[in-house]
Amino acid sequence: MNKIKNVCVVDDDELFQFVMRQHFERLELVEKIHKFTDGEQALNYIKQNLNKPDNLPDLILLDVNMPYMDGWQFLREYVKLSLPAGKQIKVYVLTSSTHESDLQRAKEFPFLAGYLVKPIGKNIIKEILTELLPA
Amino acid sequence: MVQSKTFNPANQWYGAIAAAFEDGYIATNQAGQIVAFNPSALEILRISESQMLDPGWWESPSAGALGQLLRERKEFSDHKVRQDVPNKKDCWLRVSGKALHTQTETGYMLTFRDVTSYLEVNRSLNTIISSLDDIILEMTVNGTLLHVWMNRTSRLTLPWMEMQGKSVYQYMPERLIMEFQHLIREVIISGKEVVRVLQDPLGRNQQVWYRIRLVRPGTTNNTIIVSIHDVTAEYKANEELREARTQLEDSQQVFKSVFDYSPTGIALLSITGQWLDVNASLLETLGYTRDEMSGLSVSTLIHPDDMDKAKAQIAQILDRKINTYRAERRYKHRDGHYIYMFLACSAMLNPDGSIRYLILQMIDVTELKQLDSDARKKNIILHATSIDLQQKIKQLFELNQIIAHNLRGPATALISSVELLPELANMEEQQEMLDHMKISANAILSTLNDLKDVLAQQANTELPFTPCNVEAITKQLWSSLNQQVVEKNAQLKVNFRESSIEYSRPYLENILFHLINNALTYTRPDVLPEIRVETWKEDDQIVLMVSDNGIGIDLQKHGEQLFRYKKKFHRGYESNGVGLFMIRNQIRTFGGSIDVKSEVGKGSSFFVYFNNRVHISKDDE
Repeated sequence: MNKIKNVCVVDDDELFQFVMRQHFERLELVEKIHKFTDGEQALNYIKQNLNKPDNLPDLILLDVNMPYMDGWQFLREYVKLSLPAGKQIKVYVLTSSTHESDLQRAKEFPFLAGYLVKPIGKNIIKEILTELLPA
Repeated sequence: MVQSKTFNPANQWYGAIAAAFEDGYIATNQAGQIVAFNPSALEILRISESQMLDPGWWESPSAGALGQLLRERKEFSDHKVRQDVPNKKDCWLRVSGKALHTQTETGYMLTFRDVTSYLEVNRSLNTIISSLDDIILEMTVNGTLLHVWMNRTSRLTLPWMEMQGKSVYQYMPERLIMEFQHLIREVIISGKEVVRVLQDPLGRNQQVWYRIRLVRPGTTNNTIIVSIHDVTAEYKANEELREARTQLEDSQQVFKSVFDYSPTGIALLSITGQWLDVNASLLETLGYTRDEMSGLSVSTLIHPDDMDKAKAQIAQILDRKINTYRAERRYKHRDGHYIYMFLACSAMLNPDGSIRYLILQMIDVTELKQLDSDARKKNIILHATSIDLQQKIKQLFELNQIIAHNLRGPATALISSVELLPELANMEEQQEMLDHMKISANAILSTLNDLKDVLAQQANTELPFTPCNVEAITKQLWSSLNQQVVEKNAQLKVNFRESSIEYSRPYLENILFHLINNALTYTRPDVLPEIRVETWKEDDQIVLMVSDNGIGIDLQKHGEQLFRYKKKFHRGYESNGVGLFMIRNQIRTFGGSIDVKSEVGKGSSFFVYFNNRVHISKDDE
């Protein structure tokens, strides 16, 4: 069975990170899960691996509210990156905010694959991953 | 034939009579030789007998007009002739010429009389008459004209030369005949002068008026003297005068009723500042009776603070630099309190341009002033409230963000983990998750506590404001942070241009603590920390600055998040991201604001603006 190679979970909430990891492991659809607790760490990882497409994530689950560099700041830096040709990364914004203003802000980044409001159950994760799987 | 002065010897009486004639006469025969003359002729002409008998003299220019007449031998009567007479400036003769018929020949005779003095009288009379009136008529009581003297004939164009002997009535219009006859009767009966002004007495449809004066020179005499004078100019002038007087009376009437009944206070003021007249309205406004007021000078009523301006304005009027002025001044009421008056002053002038008196109009605007100042006060409160509300909206928005992220975030994680729990078979995994859950639960609790503090701050705006000595507080905080100060060898420099800030002391301490603590925390290892604390005034606001030479912060990156809840910007420093959030909330609660300037690697400066205005307005509420 095919698997998704790399998934990045960017969130400063340790409990959320733990739950996500459990779900991913149980679904057995992902080869490697990368954990980052703020945007800056995630951005640095991607920058360092721009020449190693195998290490680049296929999926990023991005929290909005984080220290040092939040989700929006990450996205502003991320769009500037020049990814290797043919490399597709799906980015989902995950947020606990149900505010309309945050949703509007997400629309500033049209390349986003989706805007998800926490809590996120196992089924949603399965759906997202299934979509990504090579046919 | 008579050769010389001869008198008919046959008739001695004739010679005597001729010699007694006052009129002179000279007779010539058909040949033109002088045959007779009388002594009066010599006397009138002032010539000698030999001159009279010398034909050569008569032909000389000395013979004058009479010489001419003797040669012409024409018949005429009563011609007035100017004759040159030795040693007499002017000589007029009334002369008549007549042919003399004898049996054999036709002679000629001039008789003459000196009328010079009569003509002089006549001329003076004419001069007098012409200086009196336009026309003077002498007529009988029946209206027959005896004499007509006319001046300024151009006006009346009466055929005055022919009027003598005719009836006066044929020269006047029908409508006046009866009236004129009445006037004549009145003169006869009363014996006194009668004067009337008649419009257009000659019936020529002109806007002209004549004054007709009838006098009877004597009761025995049946004549009447009528003098007629054109008074159109005077009449019209009188008419205009009457009209002007009516208008003046009208305007005086209007002024009087305005003065008496106006709701505006009006006063007439002498140029020395005495009340000349004051209307009821002004008396009522100022509370005085008319008698009390008349004893006062204006200057005793004007508020001392308004006096200089009042004097300056009156001086400008007196110097004729301006005609009117308006002002707002305080006047003393009889009870002792002052009234705000809006007034207009204008000068009434004499015909020569000097000032007769000043007219002062005044309205009590005390109430308006009060309303105006109330409105201003309300406006300030409104403005302050509006700023306050804007701050509160920002605060609420921020609280919403905290709830969305800092409460809802860990809460959703807890829910997810509870769902996951049954799937965890492994005890180690369960334990790990429980540890995480505990941290999340604690995070929720700590956020809730912070929120509680924030809400308490916002609700607790009744905290007493006291004058806080900034220097004392700063020094005290500095010593409480002694451990860090010593460790980093930090320096404090202060400059308090505003030594006291009206604020809630615990809050001011908290603000200063967080700012100084941050300055001591985010230091650069390569320089000795230097922290400056200063105060000054800027546009009515007191500003507090805490400045450091620390690591600084990239405001382009983090500016908008600097004061947000639980935001961290520097790895490796002890921070919970709550301090700046809390102090901004405090500052905003009282209507102030906080700003920051920073440069990475050089340092940061925080500026706190204390909005005193809001605080004042809150007291007013």
